[in-house]
Amino acid sequence: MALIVDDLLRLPVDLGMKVLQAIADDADAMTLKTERAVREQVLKTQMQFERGDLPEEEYRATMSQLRKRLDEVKGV
Amino acid sequence: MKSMLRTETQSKRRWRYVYAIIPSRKEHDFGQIGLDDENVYTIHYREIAAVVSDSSTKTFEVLDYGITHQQALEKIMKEYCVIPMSFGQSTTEGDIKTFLSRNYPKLRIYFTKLVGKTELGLKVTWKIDTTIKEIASSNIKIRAMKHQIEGKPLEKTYRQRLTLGTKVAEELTKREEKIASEIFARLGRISADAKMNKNLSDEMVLNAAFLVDKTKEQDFDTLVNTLEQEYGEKLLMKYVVAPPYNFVNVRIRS
Repeated sequence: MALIVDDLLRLPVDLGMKVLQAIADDADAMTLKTERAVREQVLKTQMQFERGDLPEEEYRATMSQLRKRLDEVKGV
Repeated sequence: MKSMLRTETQSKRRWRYVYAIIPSRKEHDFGQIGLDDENVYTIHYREIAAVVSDSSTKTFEVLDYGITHQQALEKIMKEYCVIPMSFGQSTTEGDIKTFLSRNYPKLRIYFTKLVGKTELGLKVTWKIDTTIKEIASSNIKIRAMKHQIEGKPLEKTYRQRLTLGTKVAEELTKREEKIASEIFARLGRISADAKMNKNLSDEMVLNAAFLVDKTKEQDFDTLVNTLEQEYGEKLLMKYVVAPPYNFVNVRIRS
């Protein structure tokens, strides 16, 4: 019963978050289409890392993805 | 011939990559911890110094060198109070000396603020499931709405479910603001300075930086533990030592 209650309460929140995530993903895909946009994201990530907002592991993973994205938009 | 070669080498390595500014009269060699394993050393103006390494290039790729910059800065921080530089600050030795002399009074004021203190970055996040359960049991309106929907098919209660979700989110935001300001105020009282930053995710309650006197670090730790006990069922708290970017903002290159 508790599980059903929890699910019921979580559902709208989860739904909202999924919709927001989908919008964010679309926005990311849209904005990371140019070299400049990827570069801006790289600098933002570096700043978050320098300020301790991003753990090293997450920083390395994000930078690796951004490197790939940069190669893609440059057509390498 | 020898002097010609030396001049040529010097001009090829004319750039100085800057990691930090420190309060020190004494020349210091930090070893080969710089970008491209270069030696890191100090350039002085009176009792203030820029910590640099030599380079033949003015710009560096952040994707390749971002980690090294931060690791070098962390090593420097172990020995000195620092005004940290963001990635990519590179210029000539002459420009660095000019910068230090022109900004000497301002830099001294910054060091008065920073010496003997540490920046501690605190991140507080919801234990979201526990919190939602708690909201459901304590808020009468939400409890009533939940009872109305329970057991009914999804397609017939879609609107009510969205309304319920909105109410839960509103209640969460209300609690977030109250808890964030309380934690910020309590930790702020034992700090020399404090700054509230933008939350980095929906589940984050507070993202703040505190400038704490080293003699009060233990008090800060004890208070975080007390807060963890008070809010432990609802919140996760984590703090890290970070370069004091939140309390000084200096760039040698614009």
